[in-house]
Amino acid sequence: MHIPDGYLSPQTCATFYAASVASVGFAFAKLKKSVDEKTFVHLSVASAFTFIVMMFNFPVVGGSSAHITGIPLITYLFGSFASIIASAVVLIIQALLFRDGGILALGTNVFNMAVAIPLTVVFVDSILKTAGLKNEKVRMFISTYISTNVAALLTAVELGLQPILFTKAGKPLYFIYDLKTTIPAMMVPHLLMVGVIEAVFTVLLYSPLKNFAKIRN
Amino acid sequence: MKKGNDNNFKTILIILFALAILTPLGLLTQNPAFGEWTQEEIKKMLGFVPEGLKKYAEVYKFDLFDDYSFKFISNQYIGYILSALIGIAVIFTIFFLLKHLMTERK
Repeated sequence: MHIPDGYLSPQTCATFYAASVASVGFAFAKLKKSVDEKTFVHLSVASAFTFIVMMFNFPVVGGSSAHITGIPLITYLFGSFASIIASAVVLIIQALLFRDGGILALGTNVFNMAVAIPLTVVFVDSILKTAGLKNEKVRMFISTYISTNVAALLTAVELGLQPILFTKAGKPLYFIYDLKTTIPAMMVPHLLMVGVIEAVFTVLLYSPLKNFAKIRN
Repeated sequence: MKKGNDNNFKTILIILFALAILTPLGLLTQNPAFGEWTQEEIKKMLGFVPEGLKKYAEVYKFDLFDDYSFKFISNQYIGYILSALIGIAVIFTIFFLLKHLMTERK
């Protein structure tokens, strides 16, 4: 899900940089209002945890590999604003230090994972709550499953639009496969495996880690 | 209360350290992730590398820890564990600095 440089047109990169800077800036401003000593302990633990979790690649259907992000879990533990900041820091480090995801594509990767996942989790959870779903763990499972697939779909659409929008003499300029390929290639593994694993992970680890997070104001 | 928090934090650090040691499990699969191919892999798949892709693929050149490995350590598992530890250290440093920046301004 970490898009490398060269896969996206400069226009795509610029658009998502703008969206990400605005979203992360907003989250930062919100978080700043309630900041205390514990906030930074939580942010660093959430961030480190997400970073480590993303290193565990596993094979998925269709012959590629994937990893979970841990972002839905830290969203439930620390709230969406802290989760956006913590995961944005992870993506920046992955790009700058380890070249996992591009620098030009960083805005897009931050948007797909650090922004879209926490917001989807909070949004879906509140809809389910309003709809009367009282079981917290079921809500967690569904919200996490959907958020993982939203991130995968965003990535698939951004990549798949490149050869449709940006060509030269009939040849793709950037990413090579269009939506017909990217959507099944991203969505089948995420719908069948990654989303389920991420959801089980969130539900299982929430209770044991809740006590640590509770120290928050 | 304070002491309880410190112990909690220590436990979390131990868990993170243990997970870092286990990260080589993430290298067991040889499958590349979809849409994360190198230029050589694309060339093999298509027979050519798209012009724009070639132009922007290498704009960022820092490759000391490229792909969670170390240039000077040949064992990829050790490189991966060290990358995990470096990542954690950098993350803690960033938030430590951020904390001091933000609390000083107040």
